[in-house]
Amino acid sequence: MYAVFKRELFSFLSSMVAYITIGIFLLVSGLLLWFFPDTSILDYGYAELNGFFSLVPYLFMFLIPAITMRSFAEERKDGTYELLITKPITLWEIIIAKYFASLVLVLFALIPTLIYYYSISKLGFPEGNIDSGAVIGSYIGLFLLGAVFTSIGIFSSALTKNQVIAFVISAALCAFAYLGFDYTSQVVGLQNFESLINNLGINQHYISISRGVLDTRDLIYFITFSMFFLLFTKLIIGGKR
Amino acid sequence: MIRRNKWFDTIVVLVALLVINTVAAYFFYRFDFTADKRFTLNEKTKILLKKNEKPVLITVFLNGELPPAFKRLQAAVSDLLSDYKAYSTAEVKVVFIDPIAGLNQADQDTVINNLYQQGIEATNLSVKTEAGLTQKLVFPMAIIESDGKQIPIKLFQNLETNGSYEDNINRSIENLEYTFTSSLKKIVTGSNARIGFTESNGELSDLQLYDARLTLSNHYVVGRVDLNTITKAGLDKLNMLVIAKPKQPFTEAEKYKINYFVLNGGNVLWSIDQVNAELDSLQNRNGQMATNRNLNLDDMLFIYGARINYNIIADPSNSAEIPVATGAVGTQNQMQLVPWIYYPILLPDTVHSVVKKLDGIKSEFPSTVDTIGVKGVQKSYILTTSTFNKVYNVPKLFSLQMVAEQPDPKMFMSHPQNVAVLLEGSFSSVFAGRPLPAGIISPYTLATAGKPGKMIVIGDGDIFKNQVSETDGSPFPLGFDRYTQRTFGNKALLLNIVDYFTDNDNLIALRNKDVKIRLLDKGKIKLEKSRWQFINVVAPLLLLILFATFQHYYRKYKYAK
Repeated sequence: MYAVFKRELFSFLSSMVAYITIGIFLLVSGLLLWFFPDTSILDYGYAELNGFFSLVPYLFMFLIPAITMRSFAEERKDGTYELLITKPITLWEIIIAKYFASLVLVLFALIPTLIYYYSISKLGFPEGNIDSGAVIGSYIGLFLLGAVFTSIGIFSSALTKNQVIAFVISAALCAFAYLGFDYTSQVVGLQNFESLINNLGINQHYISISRGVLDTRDLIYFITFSMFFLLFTKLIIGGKR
Repeated sequence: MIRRNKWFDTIVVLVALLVINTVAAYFFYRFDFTADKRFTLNEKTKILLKKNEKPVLITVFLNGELPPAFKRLQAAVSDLLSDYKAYSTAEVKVVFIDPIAGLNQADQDTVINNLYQQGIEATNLSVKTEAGLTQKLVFPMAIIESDGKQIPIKLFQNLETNGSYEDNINRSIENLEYTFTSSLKKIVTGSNARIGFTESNGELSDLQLYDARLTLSNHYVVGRVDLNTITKAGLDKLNMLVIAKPKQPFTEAEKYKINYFVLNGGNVLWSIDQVNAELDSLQNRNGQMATNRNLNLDDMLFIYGARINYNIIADPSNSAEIPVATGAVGTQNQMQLVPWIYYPILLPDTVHSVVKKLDGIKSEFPSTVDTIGVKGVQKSYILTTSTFNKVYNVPKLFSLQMVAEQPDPKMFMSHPQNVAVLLEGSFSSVFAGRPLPAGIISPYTLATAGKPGKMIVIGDGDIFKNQVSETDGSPFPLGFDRYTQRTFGNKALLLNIVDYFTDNDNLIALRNKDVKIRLLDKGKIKLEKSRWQFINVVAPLLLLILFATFQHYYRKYKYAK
């Protein structure tokens, strides 16, 4: 399993596409948080990274599908997939290996954003006046959100041979999982079930953790959600075997 | 067979996940990573949320485009309420709306008026934009509804303080949990504490107490009490007595009734003018001799543990302003606002939760208050003057010409004077071993030791008096000064005292929450803005490119080997 994980990760790291995707992610978040006055941390005036943590989910909706779209789709197109499944490892191990390889890449994309933390800490009044605990909590939240989106991406990639289609499906699913439930609950006739429907959506669970409060219910939600999609990935791949 | 097994496994896993989530919904724990634990609700709030079974709707009117400080307040409200949701047994629904968004001027006015009827007041803000200052109307208010009842909630403390704008917002944020939890409690348990304002000794009129009574009647049963006619049964129904600026001496029979009320665990708010001094009577005359007022209460307060002195405090460093005629231009009298040092703005104690973080309290001719050592009664001073003051003994002649006097700073170097004291504990009976006063036919049975109660003694009768418009006689809000258009903390003080007196859960302790204010260094940003913008946009990309290059050459090197 480790061999698959390593192969997967290194093939990412040597591909231009990965760097361009992560580069765009960093550029957009940098511009939004430091340049554009409406969303700028400097104009907001408080030593907080909250703006970043509420922005990233939207960027993740594009970053993560771009990272995961190739995982199964490409192998199927190139025909290397048959090679892979004839190896003496189980289907589960392949899925998990690919899943974690993508997730590590998502974390890799987040590492340079620690510079924001450093800057704010330097700009604080007095210097260093930032709530580090809250930032750590929020990063845990980002990781969990990334884990869920990655599982959606892996699932989408297993659906099709075409990477572009995998990207589109995955981005749409991520957007719906994040926001769709909140909008659905507003539909006339469903308002009686509003809190139930809201609870299915990611947004509801991410809000609390993005400010540094980890609720065990939210944690279990994120784990369940990821497992749910990995389970369906296995069903699809298993069915096509 | 294999296929069926696969589906079987899947279903088992799905059911397991569902079960885990259901179980987790009942046994949960929240880790608060923040340094000041600002997202951790107080136990008292959690208990209340778990006990409540009625659905609650909270509408917050702070939404739309807001200046950063108010955005932070809005975020804090949203954070707090999501914590409420997390702990609540019953459904808590939260809605954020901007009531005047997208409406034309006429519709806006209608909406603003309708909201005002419900107790939702707008705050006018001057917002700095590139075009200069613009006026913006915000509604830092919320309404909490449950079971057909609703209570308006004020989210923003006040604009009128010495502290900075950010401090103000921060104090408001610190106060949010108390504000929401106490309102929630009132709405789900339906507080029916009864508060009586005494009226038989020339106390403040209904008009002067209009806003105090109106505000309190949102949450409590408020009425006037005539100590001459009220019976023992009537007193038993009361939770709190407010004695606001009596002018005539109390009879022994009235005192007997108050004493019974106090020993029976009742709470009393004394707001007493010990000295006869009124600005109104100065306006028309050249001067007025301020003299002692005989209220026949000294022995009673003495036994409870307090004494209001026969003096008047002047505080030139921190006082309210009054209009004074400075001459006439044509037929029009020229009026000017000048500080009036006998109207000190009292400073709330910074420790006690009843007054902590309140704005200054406007007073008129206050007297100092001392405490007397009494066994079983705990004392805390809650309102004081600044260190710059002078205490005048009466009788003293006052005249409006005194505004022209330049105070000699040396004369006013002093220590803060106490103007209000909170007494808590079991009070002793004033009538122990004394014959029944005339007018009391059969003795009221008294507990041998008084039940624990609370009282606050304030050396000024005007603290809870609202101003009245000279033109149409309508009352202004309590604590609002019509001359300077400033709002003082008087109303919040009254509400806090009543909450403290009538709430057995002591929710007011929630006011002790401290949230650290974390700001960016504005000077540094001004100087180094582009530098930091550059660092944060370019450095992450540079880091990425560096890694890519490294990875590229590392691979080349590895495969070349």
